[in-house]
Amino acid sequence: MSYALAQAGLYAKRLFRYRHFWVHLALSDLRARFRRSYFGILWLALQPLLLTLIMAAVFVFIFKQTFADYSVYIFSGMVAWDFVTGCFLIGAMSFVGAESYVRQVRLPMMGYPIKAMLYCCVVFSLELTGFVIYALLVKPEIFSWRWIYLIPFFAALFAFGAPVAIISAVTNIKFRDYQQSIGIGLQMLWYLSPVFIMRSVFDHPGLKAWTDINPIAALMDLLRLPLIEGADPIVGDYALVAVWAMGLWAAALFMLVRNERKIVFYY
Amino acid sequence: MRPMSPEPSEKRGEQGCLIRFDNVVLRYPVGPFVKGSIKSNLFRMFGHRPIEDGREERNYVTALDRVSLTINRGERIGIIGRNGAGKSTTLLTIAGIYPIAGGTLTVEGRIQGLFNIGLGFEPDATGRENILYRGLAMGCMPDEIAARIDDIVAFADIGAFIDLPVRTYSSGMYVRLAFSISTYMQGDILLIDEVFGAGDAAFQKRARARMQNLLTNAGIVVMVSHDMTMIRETCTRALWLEHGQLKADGDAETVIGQYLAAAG
Repeated sequence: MSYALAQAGLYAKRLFRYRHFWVHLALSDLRARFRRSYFGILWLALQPLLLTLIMAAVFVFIFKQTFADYSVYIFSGMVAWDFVTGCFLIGAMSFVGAESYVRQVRLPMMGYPIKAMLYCCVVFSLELTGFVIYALLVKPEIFSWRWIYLIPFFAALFAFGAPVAIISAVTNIKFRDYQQSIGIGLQMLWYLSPVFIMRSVFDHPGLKAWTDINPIAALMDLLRLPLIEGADPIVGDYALVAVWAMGLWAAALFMLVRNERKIVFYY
Repeated sequence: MRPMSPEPSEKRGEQGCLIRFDNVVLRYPVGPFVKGSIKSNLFRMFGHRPIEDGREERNYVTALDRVSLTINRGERIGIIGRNGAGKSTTLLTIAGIYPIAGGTLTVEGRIQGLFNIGLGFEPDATGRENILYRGLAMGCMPDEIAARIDDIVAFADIGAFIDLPVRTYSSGMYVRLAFSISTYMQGDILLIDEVFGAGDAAFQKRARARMQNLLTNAGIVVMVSHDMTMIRETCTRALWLEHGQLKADGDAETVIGQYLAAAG
């Protein structure tokens, strides 16, 4: 046990030693995405905003909400949703796209999916900034001291996202079908989670059992209650995300320990 | 049943300067393992073991087969052998890229690998940004790289292109930059796979001088080449690999003679 802990400590130390590499690579991916684009990283705020406006224009009639209320609801959901899907999709490409490094230098493999998550963190913070500006313009009364609860929300989101990125990375390098199929899975999750569909729908008896175990629903609650509803977050939601995060971390570490040295053979 | 190979063990450190292979086995997976066949994984999940029906051989190529050798500080080693004999694999194993499947591997010293130097460029990033990324991947700190970046840029000598994306470079510029980045750091153990002719005549002259400097200052040099003249000029000892096994190990002139005689 102490040997395993010592090894884990050495691994973490090596991961930290290359911290500048992971950060620079994440920023390089971001620059590459918007190179030669006129609006550049502004797109990160514009994309969810435009999608929000389009969806809100239609769905306000279904959910019987005011435009301001509903657009703020969707935009906030979209910001968190983009982070989670980014961990799945960009995480999936993190080993596949790192061939040139993996075949040249031996670095701790966990760094590549963590780099993907860092990329998602930057995107998330820029989207969230876009949301805050929009929300304060259309619904300034939502601003409250409860926004301090965003800090534990960030911790919960990152604790959930990191193992997702690791699991996606290992699965996709071994089974390239993963990359194709995960899109369908995420599409299902999009409809089965309160991203754009009103939260109250998911309290329907037919959906409640699922909602009670859905970590995306818990994350959305942890974000929206303090951010747009001026309420305290629910401890049960933290507990649910923590249970999911622990399970995912256990699976991610198990997969990484088994495959760390074998990944170079899958290219 | 195949005899079990001993539990693999790799010991690495940055102190000292030593490479020791003790019965090292390296198996390179091919077939279903790397294709990620869902079928083979499902079969395995339900207890199917290909080894039991003798099919395991098709899933692995034994790239290094019980290789034992010791390389001490000051030695200049040339690895020779036919294509597919395991020469480059040996370098990548020393560098820690490939995991061993059996035996004990001890590597002490800071490794500097000059293999596939053109790999690892971010095509959309500028030459200057790529210098930073490559340096960070080699374990340097940003301030170390900042202190040396002017030298690297001057050595590559590609003018204003250094601030343009690497995808706009000619193949010559690409190699010049790659060579300049890969050789600016001095390692204890220098691993070279097929020394390259980089750029035009003027650049080649400077590149040769730099290589000579690296070769002189490295604690250990392990070089893979099909150029016997280069091995003779550079190396004091040669290893002849054949089908992953060490066929001969000794003074460079003698081993090259044996190899050339066998090759006809």
